[in-house]
Amino acid sequence: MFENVHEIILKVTRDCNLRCAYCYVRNKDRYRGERMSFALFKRLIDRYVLDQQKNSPDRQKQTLSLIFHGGEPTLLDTHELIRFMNYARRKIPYIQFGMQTNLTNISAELAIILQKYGISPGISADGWHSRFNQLRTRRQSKTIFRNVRLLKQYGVNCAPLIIINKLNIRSILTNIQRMLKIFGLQDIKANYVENIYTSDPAYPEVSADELITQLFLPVINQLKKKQVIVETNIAGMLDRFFQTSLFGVNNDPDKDNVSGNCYMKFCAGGNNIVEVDADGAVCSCGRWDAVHEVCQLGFINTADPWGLRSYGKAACLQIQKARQLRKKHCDICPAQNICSYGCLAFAYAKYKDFRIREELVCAYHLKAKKYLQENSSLILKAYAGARQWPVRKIHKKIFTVELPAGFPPLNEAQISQMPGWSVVNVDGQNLLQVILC
Amino acid sequence: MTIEELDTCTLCGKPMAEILVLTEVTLEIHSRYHREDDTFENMNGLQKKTSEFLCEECLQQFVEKLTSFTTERRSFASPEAAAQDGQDVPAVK
Repeated sequence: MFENVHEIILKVTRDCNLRCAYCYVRNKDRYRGERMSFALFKRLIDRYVLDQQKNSPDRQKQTLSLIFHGGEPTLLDTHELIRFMNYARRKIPYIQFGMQTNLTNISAELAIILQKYGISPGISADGWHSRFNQLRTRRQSKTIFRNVRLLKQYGVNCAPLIIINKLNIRSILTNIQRMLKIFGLQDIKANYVENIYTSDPAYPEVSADELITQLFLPVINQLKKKQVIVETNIAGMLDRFFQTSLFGVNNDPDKDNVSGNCYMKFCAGGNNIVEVDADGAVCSCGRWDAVHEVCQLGFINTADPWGLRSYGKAACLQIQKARQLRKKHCDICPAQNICSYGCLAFAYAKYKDFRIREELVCAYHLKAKKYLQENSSLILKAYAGARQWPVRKIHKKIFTVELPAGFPPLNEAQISQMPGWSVVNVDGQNLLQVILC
Repeated sequence: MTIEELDTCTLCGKPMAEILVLTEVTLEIHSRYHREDDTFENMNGLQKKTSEFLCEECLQQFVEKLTSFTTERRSFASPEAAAQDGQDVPAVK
């Protein structure tokens, strides 16, 4: 079950002191007082170690991230938290800890623990002002930012995850910039909300057009002005766009190419990342919240010879995704190399079927790809600056970009497809030359 | 895991002292996505290579079940192969 796992989302409780409108943990009231026991946690760690031993030596994992999650993980008693981490570290020396929290329940004692165990918590916060956080909490916005300062005093860095919704989309770039200042960061992740409680594209969801006009274009314009990429998902989109444009597509089917967890063609749910609930249930990803049997891998003590049972479940999910990719002809879509391909779990929760949301995912990425393609040269210049690739101005409308060591060779056939781009050899080094149209 | 580290059959739990023949069965599974352009693509690391150590009874059961499964599947894929195996050819594929 845990043979391939490099990240465990550990829901130590599904209880929470907040009731965020769009949370995918349904019916939280039934989980009041739920807490994972140390005995169960111990069985989880022991099971992980055992499953790793089943791997062939060349496939045994050398990294494991254990992310305390929920509900609200800070509801777990701090002494239990320490007990959990000490046991885990004894058994798995290479383990790293993380936490996703709403940051309303932080004490100096907890801050010291976070600092001691090297935890930089992820914070759920939709904006710097209470009006942006109304879908999460009406009273505790100030508490959140007070606790950010408290954590900083103890040398604990934290990073917010913004959920883009109707309340914060209009000033999302300003919101992001203020949050960067508060948290002392270079960039922030902002995911768009999906209303899984109704099958309509309903409040508080935003449309693809709003994402383009209010998020994507402002972030790109700021990139062009200041050579910074302030939002992580868009940074990833740019990375994929330029990787394809400069080096071509490298997708060796025989390589164990793990490229991420979420919002990609084939997510890692049930394979490299699993969720473990406070009652010991193991599932592909918390976003499924038990809406479909295929996401339920079993329990911590479920027999799984060769890891075959859990593999079958993970493969079953990805086969559903593959069917949708075929149905939508994603393999020949112009945006295929920048797309996030949506979240199957959220789509299933919303529509009770497997789908890629065309009106949101396809619409957004096709528009983004068109814009990137039409403005590729100017964006490349700014992107190279943001990535600290040396850019030399040869002429008013001509510049060269030098790729740092460690990058693959420039793909001339791919580059020739971009207007004004070519590969030139200068002093024995291949550089990308761009002529602005 | 090496043979020396084992205490039991990893399937049925029979103690090592009672095992006559210990067999390591390694399973390597690797799934690839078949694209519309007829090339194959990796699926974000969807593959495993794991071993179980079977006592002689578990090995026998394992071989029997796997053999009957493959024989049944072959009968769907190829009626000729099914006939060779001595299986009845199914009326509907």
